Amino acid sequence: MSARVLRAEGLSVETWRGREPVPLVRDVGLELRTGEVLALVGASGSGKSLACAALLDLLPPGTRRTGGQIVLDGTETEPAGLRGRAVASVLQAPRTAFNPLRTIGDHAAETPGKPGRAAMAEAFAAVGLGDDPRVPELYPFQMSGGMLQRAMIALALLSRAPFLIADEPTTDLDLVAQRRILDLLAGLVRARGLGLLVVTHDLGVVARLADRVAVIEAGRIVETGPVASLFADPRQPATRALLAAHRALHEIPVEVVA
Amino acid sequence: MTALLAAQGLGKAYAQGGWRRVPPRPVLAGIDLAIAAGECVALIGRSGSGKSTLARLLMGLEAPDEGTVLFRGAPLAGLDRGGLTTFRAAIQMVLQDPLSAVNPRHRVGRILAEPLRHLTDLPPASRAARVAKLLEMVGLDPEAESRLPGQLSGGQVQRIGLARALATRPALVILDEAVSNLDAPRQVDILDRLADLRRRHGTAFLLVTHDIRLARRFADRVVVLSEGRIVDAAPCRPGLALSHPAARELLDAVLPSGPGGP
Amino acid sequence: MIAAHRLPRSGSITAAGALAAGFVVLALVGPLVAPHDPLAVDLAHRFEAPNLVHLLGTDHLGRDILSRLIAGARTTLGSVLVVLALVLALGLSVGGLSGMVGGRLDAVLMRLCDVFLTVPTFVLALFMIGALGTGLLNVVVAIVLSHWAWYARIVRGLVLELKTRDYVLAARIAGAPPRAIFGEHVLPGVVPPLAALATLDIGHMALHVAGLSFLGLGVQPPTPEWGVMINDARAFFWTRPLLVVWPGLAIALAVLAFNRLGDALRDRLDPTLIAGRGL
Repeated sequence: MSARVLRAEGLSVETWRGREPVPLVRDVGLELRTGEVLALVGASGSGKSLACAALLDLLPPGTRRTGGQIVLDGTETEPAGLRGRAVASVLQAPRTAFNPLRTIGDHAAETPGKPGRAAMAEAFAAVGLGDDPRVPELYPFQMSGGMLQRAMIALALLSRAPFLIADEPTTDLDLVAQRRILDLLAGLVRARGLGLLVVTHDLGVVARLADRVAVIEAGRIVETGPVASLFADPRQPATRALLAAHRALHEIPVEVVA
Repeated sequence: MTALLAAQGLGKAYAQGGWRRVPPRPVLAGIDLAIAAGECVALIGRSGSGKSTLARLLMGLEAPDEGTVLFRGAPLAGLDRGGLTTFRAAIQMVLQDPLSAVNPRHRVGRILAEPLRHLTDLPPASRAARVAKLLEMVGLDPEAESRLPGQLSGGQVQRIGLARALATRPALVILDEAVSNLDAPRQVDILDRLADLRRRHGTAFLLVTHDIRLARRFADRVVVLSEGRIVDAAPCRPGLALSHPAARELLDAVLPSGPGGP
Repeated sequence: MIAAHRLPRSGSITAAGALAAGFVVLALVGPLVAPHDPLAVDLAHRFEAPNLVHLLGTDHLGRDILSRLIAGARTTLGSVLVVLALVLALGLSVGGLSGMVGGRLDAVLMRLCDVFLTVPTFVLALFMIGALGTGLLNVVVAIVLSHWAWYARIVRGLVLELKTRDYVLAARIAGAPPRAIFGEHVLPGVVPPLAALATLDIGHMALHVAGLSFLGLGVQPPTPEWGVMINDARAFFWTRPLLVVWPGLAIALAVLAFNRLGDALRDRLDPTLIAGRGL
């Protein structure tokens, strides 16, 4: 099966102060292929989440898309038509993404395509929630942050979309839960040939997961390339600054005296 | 020497919801912890391990069900009004989410002056001078004083939260996951500022975090909390000697620093 | 920061604001602008149709209707404002105390509220008037007694919600005593939604005052009051329908204006300030 390609070209987003437009995302282009992981990296406020929201047609109120197109396998497509069909999404705060009054099973039954019991069981098993038969009957408040993020990934899988967009999927989780979610995502990309776009500020996440990286600064993509060359030979000041801070915090090897 | 702040046999349980009578769920049990003046301790553990509850008990924001918190040897519960003011001025805390920790209606100057008004007897003129000094300490423009939090970036609001905690020249600052969820450049910025404060004023810190990397970079020793109990503790230098499975789990979760790396 | 998107300012809000302001001004300066003495009986000029001397005509005793409407604004809206002031004062203190202190005091105060909430306004008013006699003061007391508990409950709810905010915790850490926490952090969050609610209630309470007066339980003739005017005109409804229409129109306009204004205030204040987003 040949790789499917999702491409965003010239995405621009702006807000406005009074009547003055303020650009937030400028001419962002991204190319995502099935079977690979693309990381969109930037510091807080760089516009990475907005670029991703523009791709999904989920821009917050007070912002608007002023340009750009989405091309799926060479055909220009409306972003709204992609969501849930070609592109599934996993958002940063899983607790706010679920209706607190409905069970996880209710949420699963509502995904496009009306999945049957077997499909639901399969999706929950794929995200590591299959061992406990009570999971579909649980309400969001009865689950930990890590479980909720797994459930959200299961819902994304149910849509059978070839592409998955994950916006800071582990920000609200502790490191142990984060590690497990990243392992899960990596496994799903390998097993199902998903194309994954992961938005993050953490170069550790990039190092763990990504094949290619796009660095965003002040709403613009400043550098794109394979993950190894970006770590080995960063070209742009923004990339260097992110890497320097990352190394300052984490480069010291973890010595363990058992 | 008496510890600056100490916990002795702390225990806390929370009532559970629901129709049936359920026994309260224990969150902390048998916690013994002492922080000396000028010391920097990291309290690490997973979400739900009881870290934040312990921080609130140490701050006297909630009363423990068992055990006592001692401030310079004196039980918190027995402090009189003046003693409590001294305690609050000496022990401060920075909360996790910077934007929600400041009143959106108050200007920065008023936010920073709040602990000065309640915990010190500085006259208004000296308060204004102290606010200006605090802004300088955290690297913000003097003009920031007249801004509302909504007009500042997330990183700037985080520094306001830190400046407020430093206003009364505390002996100990508790950082409740206040650094964990920032991006790397901001983490480095905050940690550098804190290290500088330690050098210059001998401020003690309790860094509450789930990120063992931050703990190791910043603290003198690490205390590991798991399921409401202290399960392991070790100095950070020369090597971090942690052996409890809960501690190993946190260590193993550290992400690689580069592609293909450990 | 993303610019907050504003709700379109529709013309009806401006009109409602102007109308409400007009009613308040009339209530304040009424006697100065009234063309005639609202109490002056002139039996020679009964039931006059609207003309240049009497712009809205005269009633069954030859009194100028416009002047009576203007004077009535003061009676009706004035008593409503007194009611609101008392209700807000009671609601804020009981609800604020209940929410801030909590525990047993909260339980006792809220059960007290429940008792008052179970008695409908009109029934309570009838009881009061049966016990104390008719009159505007008793109507005011009856409406206050039947409404303050609502406000206390709402204030308590807002206080409890605001108390969980991180910035209240931060204020405790900054050493703020409960009084300062209430005054500086909680109260400013309670006032805007409460102001919206109170504005919405002005129309509702005006209906109570007029309604009770219409039934002859509140303001007594010949004092000009909109409800009393409708009651007076009732006997002539089939022959002189305009006499009912004018005060009816005044009541309807006042209720509509304050409701629309309250709605607009709530739309603007509620979502931003209650959720703490805004700014």
